[in-house]
Amino acid sequence: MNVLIVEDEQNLSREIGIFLAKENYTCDIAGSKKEASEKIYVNNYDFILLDLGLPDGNGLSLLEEAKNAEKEASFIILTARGATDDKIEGLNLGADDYLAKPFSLPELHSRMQAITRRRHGLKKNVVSFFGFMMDIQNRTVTFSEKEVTLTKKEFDILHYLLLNKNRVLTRLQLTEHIWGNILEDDYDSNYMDVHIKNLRKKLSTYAETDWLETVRGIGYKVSMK
Amino acid sequence: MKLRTKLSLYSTLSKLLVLVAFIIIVPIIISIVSTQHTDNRLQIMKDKVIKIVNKVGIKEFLQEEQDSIFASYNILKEEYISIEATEKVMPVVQFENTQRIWDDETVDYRVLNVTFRHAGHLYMLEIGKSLAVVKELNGVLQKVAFFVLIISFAITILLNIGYSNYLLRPFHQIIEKKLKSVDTPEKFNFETIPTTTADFVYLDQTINEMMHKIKDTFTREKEFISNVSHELLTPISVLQTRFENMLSEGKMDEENAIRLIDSLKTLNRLKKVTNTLLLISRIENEQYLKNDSINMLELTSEVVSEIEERFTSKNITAIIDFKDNYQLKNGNHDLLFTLLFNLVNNAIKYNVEGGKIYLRGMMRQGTFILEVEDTGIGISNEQIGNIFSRFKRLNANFTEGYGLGLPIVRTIAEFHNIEVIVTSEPGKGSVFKLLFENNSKMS
Repeated sequence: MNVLIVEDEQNLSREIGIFLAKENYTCDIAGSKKEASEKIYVNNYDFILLDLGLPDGNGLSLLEEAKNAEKEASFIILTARGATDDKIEGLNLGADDYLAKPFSLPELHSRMQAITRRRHGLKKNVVSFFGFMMDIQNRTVTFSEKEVTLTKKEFDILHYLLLNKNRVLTRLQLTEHIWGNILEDDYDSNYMDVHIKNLRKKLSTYAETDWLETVRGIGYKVSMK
Repeated sequence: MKLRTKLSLYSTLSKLLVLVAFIIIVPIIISIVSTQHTDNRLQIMKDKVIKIVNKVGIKEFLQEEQDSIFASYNILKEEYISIEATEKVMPVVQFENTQRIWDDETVDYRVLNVTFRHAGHLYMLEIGKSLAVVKELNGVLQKVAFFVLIISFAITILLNIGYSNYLLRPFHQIIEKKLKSVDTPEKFNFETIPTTTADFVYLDQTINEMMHKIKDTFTREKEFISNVSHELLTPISVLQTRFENMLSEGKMDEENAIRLIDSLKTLNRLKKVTNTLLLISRIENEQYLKNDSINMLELTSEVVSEIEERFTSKNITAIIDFKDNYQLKNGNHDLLFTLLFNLVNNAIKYNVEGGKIYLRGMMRQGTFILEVEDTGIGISNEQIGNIFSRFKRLNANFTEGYGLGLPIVRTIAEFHNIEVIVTSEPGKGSVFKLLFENNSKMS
């Protein structure tokens, strides 16, 4: 899939590019509205990651431009301005999602995957892993037809780990994903460990859970070959 | 007192004063004028009598054995003439008011006295004219004047009230249409209020100019906050993504990976502080809408279920006890959620293992109170004054104490006109009371 990263901060667009390349996206980078406009005109992108504060103006007009040119690209607005007005206006103009800077890369990835699923109307909204089946639409996990009762947060954690399989997710990234942007400073709590512990306990009544690894000092990871 | 009332009252009182003065002065003027008029008539009559006396002789007027005689004029007791012999010379004509009794009837007269010579004798001529007519006339005139004045008084008062209402309308329009409806300077109505009164034009212009200045400042501040947030959050973003990429490359040994995790945590703290300060300044700049109607019991349940895992992990029991419910109109749901979340989160954070948290809702004298009580470590008296101060906390050791949660609570509460009262007993727990004052009715 092709992605255009519209971001004037080169350091950031490079890091996003490195991350997405590993997830098998092909990335282009544009540092200004003008550059982005040219690239959107010439190429077809699946995703356009759009920073609003560009040196030559507000990025929102690019969104209109692309929509008018009947480009199919999905837009995710990335902004540090964080004003709700921008968010509403962006979504009204047809943006698919909105991420406030600073965001974590796995979060961006999960949002992109959610959009892909939505856009392509994937019938098969089911992920299978180690004998378990996760139905993303109905938010259930089953093991040979039997349902594993998970809380909302446990489901979200497992889903997030599966989306980012073979990648270590830090407690911080997991916390941010399930708690959103609630402002608090006690991120260093052991709540995530409690969640994981409960999750393992529930899953292990059906099968081994050694695929849900603890990476010492860092976080958790789902290893899949 | 309203200006309109004052103006009307002033004009009424001043008119009343004029009226009273008029009612007092009118009879005096009338009596002066009528006396003068009567005197003139008497003079003319005197000249006539003397003329007649000179012509026909005095005998016609005098009768024997009588001091004086009255002419036939006297039938109606309107006027009389008397002539009598005298020895006293009165050089000038004299006027006086006297009473005469005729047939047991006392009549007020204006009397002219003069002496004149006829055929070598000195006579005293007295001509009287009844004042009854004058008095009657005076009374009638007074009444007429009184009614005319009362009517004109009433008319002018009505006109006055109407006119002052009309005059003051622009003033009320300025207040109603402009000042009262200001939520944010951006929504200010800069339309000029139509008026020909220079003072109101001036007032209107001055208010508009002032609001333009405020609006500019407001816009600048908003821009500043927006720029600062951009300037701070972009570099944080760069570092976070870079650290995350470094971690996921997996080339690092465990020791360095943990150091990187710590850097990410530090970065996260920076991010939270920046976001918190931004949130507070955005609320203070009224950049949030208050369009939601919020059921407090529902909100409380929402917060509790969101934070449920934390209760269980610390073995804390949450007890929701709403004697009364409350529907807050014109609130911001997300902000109120954050407010309550922070309070409950603190109640968990500073609670003891196996403790309790009470969430109570009640009406007290028309005020809805939401209480969050914990059985935790409590706050000492010295600290209690500082828990809402963001700068105090920022200077103190960051990971301890109440952090930035309570400054946010205070800002959101102020934004919604909610009073926050904290009582605490160290070692026993704290109670945070939210008083929803004059916001809206009970649901």
